[in-house]
Amino acid sequence: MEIKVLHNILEVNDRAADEVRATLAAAGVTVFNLIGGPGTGKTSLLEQVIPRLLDRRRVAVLEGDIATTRDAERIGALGVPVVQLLTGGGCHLEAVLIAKALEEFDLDALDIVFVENVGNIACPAEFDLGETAKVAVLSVTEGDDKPAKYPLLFHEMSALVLGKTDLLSLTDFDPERFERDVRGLNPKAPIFPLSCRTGEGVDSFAQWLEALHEGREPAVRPRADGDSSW
Amino acid sequence: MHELSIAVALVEQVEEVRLANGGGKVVSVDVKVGQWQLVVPEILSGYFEHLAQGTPLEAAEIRIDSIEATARCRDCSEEFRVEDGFLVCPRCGALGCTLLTGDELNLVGVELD
Repeated sequence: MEIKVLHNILEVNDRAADEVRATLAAAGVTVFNLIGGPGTGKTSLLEQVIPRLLDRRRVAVLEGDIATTRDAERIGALGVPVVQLLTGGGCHLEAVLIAKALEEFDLDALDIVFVENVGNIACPAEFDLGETAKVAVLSVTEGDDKPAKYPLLFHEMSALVLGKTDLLSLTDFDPERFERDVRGLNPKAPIFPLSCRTGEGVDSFAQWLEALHEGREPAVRPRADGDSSW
Repeated sequence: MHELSIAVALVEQVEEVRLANGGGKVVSVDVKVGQWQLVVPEILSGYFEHLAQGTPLEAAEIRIDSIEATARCRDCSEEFRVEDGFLVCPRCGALGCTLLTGDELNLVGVELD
């Protein structure tokens, strides 16, 4: 007996993500899912951005890592609530982990939650966490060829942070080629070149985060209606 | 590594379909995977076979159909194969074309004994 079906294999995750989204919407919390490779500067970005938000916004962080609590300790030093999610080898976070971790927070006492995904630019792009927006984090030292190699992330993201711009002159990174390739996948997402070492460009990114939290910027979710584009 | 998460979810879905159709043994499972999902078919098959051991899915053959990325231009309606992951219309140069195929991760068929 042959049975024809059409199931999204990740629908269990997607259902959990929808529940997370509903919980967050009810509490008025905006969640940013930061996706980038190991060493690209995701934790450094949070160390720069969070102090710029803290006088106006209540912030918490979910730290995804394969092992160690080092990143959570760095974020804890900023004086914000942080929950460490250890995947024990898993290369990405899934929505059920987020649902469980959010129970650790008093959501009514928060405005913005950052999820620092496991360092990886392939797998995390596939797993909806119920976030308001995915933010791709890349750095100039990784090379300008990443959009072509990992199209899904650049297609799904709502914004792109391009870090380590203070090192640009030491690399062969071609900003024009990079932007052309990103636009070939995602014509609208804002790109924020910045340096966590000098602080240059960080303010613009922080302003975008707040604008999105306040609803002044749309949270682009390209696949929300089953249509891959927007 | 994401192949393991996908295999776990797939085994659960196949089991649901099996139970909803009177049980029995699973002979084959058909899956469609878009190239943008960056799934390695051999690794997904390996995890599936491992997870199926000792279950009614044990003897199932998993068939993975890899789907290439295609898109349609919003301006001129040209349909094209996506080269290098870029959604740029080869005919009129428009950006932001709609992805038609290539992001699938679907269970499409289950054959029961």
